[in-house]
Amino acid sequence: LNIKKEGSKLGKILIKKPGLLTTIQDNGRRGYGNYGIAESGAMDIFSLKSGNALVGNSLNEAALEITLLGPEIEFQNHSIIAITGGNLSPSLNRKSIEMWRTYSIYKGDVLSFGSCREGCRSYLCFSGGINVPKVLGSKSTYIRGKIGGNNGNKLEANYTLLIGEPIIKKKYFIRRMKKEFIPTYQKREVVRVVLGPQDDYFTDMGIHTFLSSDFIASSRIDRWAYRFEGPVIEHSKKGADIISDGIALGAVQVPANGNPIVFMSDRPTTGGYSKIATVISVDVSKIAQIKTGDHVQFKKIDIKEAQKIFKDREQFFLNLVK
Amino acid sequence: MEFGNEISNCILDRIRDFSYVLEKTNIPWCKEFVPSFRAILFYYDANKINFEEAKKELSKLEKGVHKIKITPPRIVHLPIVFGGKYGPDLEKVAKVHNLTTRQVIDFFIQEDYRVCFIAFAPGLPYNAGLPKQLETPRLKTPRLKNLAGSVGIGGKQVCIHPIDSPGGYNIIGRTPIKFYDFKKINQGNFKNFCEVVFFRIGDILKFEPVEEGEFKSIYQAVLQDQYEVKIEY
Repeated sequence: LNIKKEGSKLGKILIKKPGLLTTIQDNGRRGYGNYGIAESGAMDIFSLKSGNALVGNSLNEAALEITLLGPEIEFQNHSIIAITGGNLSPSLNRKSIEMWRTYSIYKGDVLSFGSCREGCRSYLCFSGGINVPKVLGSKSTYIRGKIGGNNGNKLEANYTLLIGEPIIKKKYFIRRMKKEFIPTYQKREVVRVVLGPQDDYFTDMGIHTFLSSDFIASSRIDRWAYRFEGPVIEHSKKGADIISDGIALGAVQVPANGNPIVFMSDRPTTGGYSKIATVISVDVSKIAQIKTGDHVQFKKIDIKEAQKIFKDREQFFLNLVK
Repeated sequence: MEFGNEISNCILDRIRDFSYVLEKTNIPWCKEFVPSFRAILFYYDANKINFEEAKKELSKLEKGVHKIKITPPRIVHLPIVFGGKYGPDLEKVAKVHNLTTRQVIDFFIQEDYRVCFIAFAPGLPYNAGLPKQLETPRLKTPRLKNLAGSVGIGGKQVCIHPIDSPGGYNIIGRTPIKFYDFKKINQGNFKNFCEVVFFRIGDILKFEPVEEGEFKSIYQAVLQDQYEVKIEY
């Protein structure tokens, strides 16, 4: 357990209202897929890492992942925070505040959220991080598996969470994300995919439908998967079912109904419907900000391009902490 | 990494042996691996290696794998209640194969099942051994919720859901046994994973039908930690 030793001053925050789905998430839990334990972690890794960079944390530190309807939080100590990701109209003591920058917070301050203006999920990062024990190497909450974060639960009203002592000391020190790096969330996103591993389970027509149509996010979207609706993606004679095999982050599975499912952080580790493609890891963060009714279009790239995009993104994060 | 396109003991053994080696080998670029019936999924760190190099390195490693000596499997006896609300797809499965539900149950329980790997959800065993007569395609649209303990058929495969979760299998019955201990995991109160995840690769499963009343009493006993699963070593 990585509870901090005496000497470092932990702060407290009180969850007055929990919001729709507020969970503790870091960059996920790796190495237990062969026991069926999901990776979990922030759905939008880009926003998690950016927020942590702003408040001076290590990039993979845990934050609160806030979904659509945000919580109301009372701070019981001084803190420094940043909110990144989808814009859920945050305000501090009832006054609207900006996204993608740091704020100094004082004892008694109340942070709350309003309507969803853009995207789907916000990340609330605290300088010094969140003080919960790591479970199987991660602070992430895995709700279905009932482990991690707040014992596998979303945050409830009247819960008190321990946060670290702020790392950035200067009280009025403001750090902002450069404008050009702040993503905008559209009602229609293009996400890049690498075809396979079972693209041979689809007809040419099926592949064409997949790559040229708009798909609409259904109401069945969660941390497990995004289920999209649109024109039916046609399977070949091999059919929709396969012998079950591993499901990677961003895998696009198409059951016999012909509608694509994109697998996210809390996904099953394996599955038995054919997978037409995988969303590249960098673009999984875009999917995480899609909500019911938003459109997505899948664009094919090859694996070399995908690796280049991944490396560029990693370099971007390195520059961010410099 | 793929090893053919069938469920066979030969491929299952190869994957089991390779997984055993992988558990013991430190591959700096490998973040996680997920074995299944005929494939192993590897998560690689693209900062450290590219796709082609990773493939080469893995196939070289696999070629050097020797057959491992395995301990004789455990035989696990699992109570199961069939049909009704416990097995909402039992009648459908019977209909698909032109059988009565009684015949489906008889075919199902006369076989032994081999736990091939643990995946999908925490501690969920994927099992081979389903008789040909009962092979049934998965649901066209997967369900959003199957209850913990649900036993399902998907193609040639049989799975048992350890927790409430979505899934596309035809659920024919339910076992009252608990086989995933999240409390111990949260407390960090275990040394070996077999203390928190009940099934082991290689286990032989025998399903033993019970009536609803018995299911309920076992379920209660399990909740109070007063039921011992019958296991032969």
